[in-house]
Amino acid sequence: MLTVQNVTKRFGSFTALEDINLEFGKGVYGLLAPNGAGKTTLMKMIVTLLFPTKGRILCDGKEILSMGENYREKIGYLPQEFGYYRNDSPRQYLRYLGALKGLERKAAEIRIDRLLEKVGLADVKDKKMKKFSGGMVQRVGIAQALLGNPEILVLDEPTAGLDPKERARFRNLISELSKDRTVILSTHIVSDIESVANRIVMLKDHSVYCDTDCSSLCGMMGGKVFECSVPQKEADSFEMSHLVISRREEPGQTHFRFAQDGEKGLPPQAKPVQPDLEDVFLYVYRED
Amino acid sequence: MKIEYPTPQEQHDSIERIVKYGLPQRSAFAELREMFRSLGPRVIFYGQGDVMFIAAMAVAFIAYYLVQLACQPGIGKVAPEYLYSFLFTVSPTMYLLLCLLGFWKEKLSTVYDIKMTCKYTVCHLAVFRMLAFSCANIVVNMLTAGLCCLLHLESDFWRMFMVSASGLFLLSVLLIYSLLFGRGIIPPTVVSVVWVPANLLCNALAKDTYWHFLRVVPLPLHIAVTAALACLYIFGLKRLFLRKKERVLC
Repeated sequence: MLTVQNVTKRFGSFTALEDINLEFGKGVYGLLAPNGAGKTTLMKMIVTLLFPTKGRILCDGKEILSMGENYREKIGYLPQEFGYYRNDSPRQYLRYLGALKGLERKAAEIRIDRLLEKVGLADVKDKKMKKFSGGMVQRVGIAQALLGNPEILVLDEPTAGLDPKERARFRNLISELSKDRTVILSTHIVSDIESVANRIVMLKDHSVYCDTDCSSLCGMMGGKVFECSVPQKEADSFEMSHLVISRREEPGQTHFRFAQDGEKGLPPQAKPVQPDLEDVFLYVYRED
Repeated sequence: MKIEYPTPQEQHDSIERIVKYGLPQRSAFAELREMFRSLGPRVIFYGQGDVMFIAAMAVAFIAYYLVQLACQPGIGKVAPEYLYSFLFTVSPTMYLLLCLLGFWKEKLSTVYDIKMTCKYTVCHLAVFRMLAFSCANIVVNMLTAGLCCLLHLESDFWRMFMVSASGLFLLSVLLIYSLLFGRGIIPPTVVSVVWVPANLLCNALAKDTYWHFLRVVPLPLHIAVTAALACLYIFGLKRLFLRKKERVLC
């Protein structure tokens, strides 16, 4: 169990996070917030790259900063900008990181082969990474995060650069891994966490806005999301006066999905629809 | 009679306390030894080939300069004060280049964040490298002193060696404590950049005191000062190895 207790982080006079209280058990936790909300700062504090200005983070009751290497052996981290040595092959790079993570050589070799197979890079394990696409490099990043068989997996924007097929593969992998470990992942691609996250944590104004499961979160928007079609000549004025989630052009008319509090000003042809996580995201962060 | 047994949490806490205080604690150098055994030189010095090449070129240049000095007309007429102040100033060159360029390489590397979350972090690697580079520099200083004797630039091998060793350990102490107490990589960079101008300034403004320390002070005193600096350096390395500090090289 990972506990974030009254954590505040300041950089000089700027407060990045204020009085954060969270608990992470086994399962998948999605960290949802727009850019600059503090997701990466929180993740970096969890992996001890940054230290809280106030408060503490505990792992099974012990402060992670005092645990030192014992804590680092439990974590796997994929940063937002994953770095690698361009002239290394995935196997060489993972061997190097495996050594730094304290893995025994023979066990590391077996694990590296299995992980590269799992992320679909078995065919190119000895090719230099400078020849890889962005998606392939990202998959190496996911493999290195899993190298030490960590209890706590922290993934910062793990699906950046992955195509829909790769994202689907990644979602299945995360679901499989989350059975017996804590997975904390941040993403802007709402659909990536909608189907796999047990709990969603939303950050707003440098603190926790909500920490709940996906269906409860979508339930908050019950009766607030609508769809309607308007004539094309009225489409622009409609968009300016409503919180539009999506817009689709059809012959002679424009189809809108929008969010609204209450029924005042609601077009007569609007029909309520079941809200999804993207609706919640756009509604909660509408001022940002 | 009812016996109260400890709860699982109490049992766990007791076991932890016994292990923590009962088992012998490993020293920082035992940890370093274990790290070397576990990682090997290839992993510890991974990606440092270009830095080592630059440092080797600098050493070769200094050796070449000394040979040129010896080959000048009027051999044996190089002023001893000049030779000693030169040795004192340039003796830590290899160590300085290896450490400083190594720090900047790690700082600018995109792999820094991932390495800082491993069991053996960038800090652990940096401490081991600094220790190894200082030992290598001592060997180079010995060879340089030997070269000076061979070229008949000076005959007092041990004084030359102690002067270069004291230069090395003085800079090492300044470097390591700037890392420990400064923020990020700028303080050690400033120390490194200022080293040569500071020595030139001492040479120009406090010539007599400077040369007195290098040439006249008895050898046992030189050895004592060098040993004290070496102890400070080792102590600093130990503190850096064990220190938990946010973003040490960044």
